[in-house]
Amino acid sequence: MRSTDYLARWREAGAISAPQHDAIAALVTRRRLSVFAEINALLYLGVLASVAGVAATVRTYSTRWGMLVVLVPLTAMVVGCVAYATARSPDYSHERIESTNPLVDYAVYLACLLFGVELAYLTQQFPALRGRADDLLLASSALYFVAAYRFDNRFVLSLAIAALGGWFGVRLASLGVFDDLSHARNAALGFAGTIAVLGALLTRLGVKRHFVDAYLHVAVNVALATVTWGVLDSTASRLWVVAAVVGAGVTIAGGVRRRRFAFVVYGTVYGYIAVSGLVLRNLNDFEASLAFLVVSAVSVVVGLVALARKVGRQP
Amino acid sequence: MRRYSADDEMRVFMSDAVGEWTGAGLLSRDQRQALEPELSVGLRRTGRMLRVGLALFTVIAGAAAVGLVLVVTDLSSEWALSVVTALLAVGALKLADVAAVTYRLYRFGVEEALALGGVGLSAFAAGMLASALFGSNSANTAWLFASAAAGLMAVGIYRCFGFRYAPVLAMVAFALMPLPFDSLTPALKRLIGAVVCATAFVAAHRAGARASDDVRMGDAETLRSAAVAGMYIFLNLQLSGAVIGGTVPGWFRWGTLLLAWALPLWVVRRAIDTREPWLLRVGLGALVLSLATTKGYLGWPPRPWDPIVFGVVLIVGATVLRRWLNAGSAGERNGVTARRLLESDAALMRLVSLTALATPPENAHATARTNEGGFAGGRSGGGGAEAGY
Repeated sequence: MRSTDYLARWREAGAISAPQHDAIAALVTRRRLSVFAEINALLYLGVLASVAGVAATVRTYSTRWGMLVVLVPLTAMVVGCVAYATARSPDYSHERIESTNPLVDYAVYLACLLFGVELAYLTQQFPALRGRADDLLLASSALYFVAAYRFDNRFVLSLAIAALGGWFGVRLASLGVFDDLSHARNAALGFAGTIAVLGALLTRLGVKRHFVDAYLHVAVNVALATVTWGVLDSTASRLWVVAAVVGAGVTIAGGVRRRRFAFVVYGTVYGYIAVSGLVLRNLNDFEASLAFLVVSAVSVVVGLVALARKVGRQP
Repeated sequence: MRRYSADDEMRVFMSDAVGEWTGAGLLSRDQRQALEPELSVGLRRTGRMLRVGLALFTVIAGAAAVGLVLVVTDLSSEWALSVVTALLAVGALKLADVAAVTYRLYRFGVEEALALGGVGLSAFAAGMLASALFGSNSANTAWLFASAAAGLMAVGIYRCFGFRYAPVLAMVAFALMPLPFDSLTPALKRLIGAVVCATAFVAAHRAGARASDDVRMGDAETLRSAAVAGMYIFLNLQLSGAVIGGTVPGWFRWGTLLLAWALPLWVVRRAIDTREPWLLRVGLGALVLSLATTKGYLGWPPRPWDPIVFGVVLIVGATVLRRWLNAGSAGERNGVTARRLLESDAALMRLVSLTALATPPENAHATARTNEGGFAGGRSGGGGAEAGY
């Protein structure tokens, strides 16, 4: 039996209307075929490749060409992309704005990436800016956040979060905190906390609630990876163990409650790595270690199966 | 032999499709609820993420169990290793069977990991058997046996469980069989690999023509797309050069360059005719790769601005295609549209947008370099490619 047979039966039984039947049958029989994903993939790859090429070209020829030859075309491209996007995109709204033209989305992304190249060039050219490179990075991150919200653009939001993460890393490295790994872990937790608070705050204010996933995925992964790293570091405080167990537990519970099973898997995987790392470090016997892995992994499988049965099938 | 009835699998397929149509606004939620009872089956299913998690932990448990058996038995002879791993393979496949038949798990991660573990163990057992039979220096023969066993077992698990990726795995295993044989020239290895993939394409085409339901047709389409991708990878010297290596005659080199363009063009044309989305994606992907690798084929030196040209071609190509489609009647040409029709496309883009996290802006890199004190570029004169700004 084929999909078309089901559809015909449902139409005859009155479960679906004739127009619904025709619209769905056109998809099932592929009389209608969308190349939306393919066009987006080509644009995304095109933007990434172009910016990589621009960065490499500027790096290679900046001293030979001079400042104007680099800055004028770059600025023109950034301004052009932003002007195009502003002219073609709907007005700002706190709610999700469905994109009708992918070119607008990628123009904004291209503008932000090119602006990053421009800033990098300026930072290197002007000694005065060189000392404020981290401040510029933070400012550019803020600008990307504004652009992401103005144009409802997830790519630019990811860019903004990545830039903010870069600022945390660069800023703290300059303060010498990475000389002590525990400080580096605190810094990573600070970044995760900042992202989580920012995401939660904007969601609570009703501003682009659909962006919350991007914040949560980053915050949870950075936080859990950091506490797991703390557990695996034998010189670190035992508090990391408590943090890892509590963090994994909270993530799993939150994932189950909100039926977001990616977070259940994050909590399970990071929690398992932390606990296994701790146990295996104290087991000197190889056979016992393997036996532990068998028993623990089977226990996790049983637990996940029970969970899957309880919560039913969710994406 | 199949562990799930065709009717059950078709109901599962329709249940997923109804969910997708509801997400796209083609059906109401009430209609979905009304249709669901007809599509319910006695199979246990789970979502994508839990499926991945279950598969991961099953693999950990299985690998540790195999390691434990091998450590405890302390086997050293190839015969013994072959027998024990063969028994473990049988055990893994039996457990997968129990999971599917008794517990009615369907694409649950557990039965998939167990079955694939059985394939891997069978391959290892076959390799050990070849070493025992032909001597431990016969690594090539061991590879041959292992690949053949993996391919045959993958076909077997497809027949039992219907995993869509199993025939693809079988094709890859068979295509890689000649790889370690030094007596074969690199050109011949590529040709054998491409012929294996072409055979898989023909087999999938026939299977698709015979298919009586959409599930089997989808399986055939997946294999067809993978077969084209395999053929392309074997024939594009720039892509597979690192794996297969060696020099090839001039006629072969230019012949493969011709094919690296002709094959994707033919595939895209065919995919539009037959309306196969995955075949179209593979064809377009191959075209993009041909564009990226042709300069290397021609032996032209790489330039820093190459990616700009490449990127602009992609952007212009996508823009022209979109505009051309939108200019058609009702934004379509021959039924092909640039608009999003299903929610799954939007979900895919949301996922892809997260990859932008891995590409921080250039000023983040530059700031990091600055803080490391390394921005002496350009001072050596000539603006070397490795220099900073």
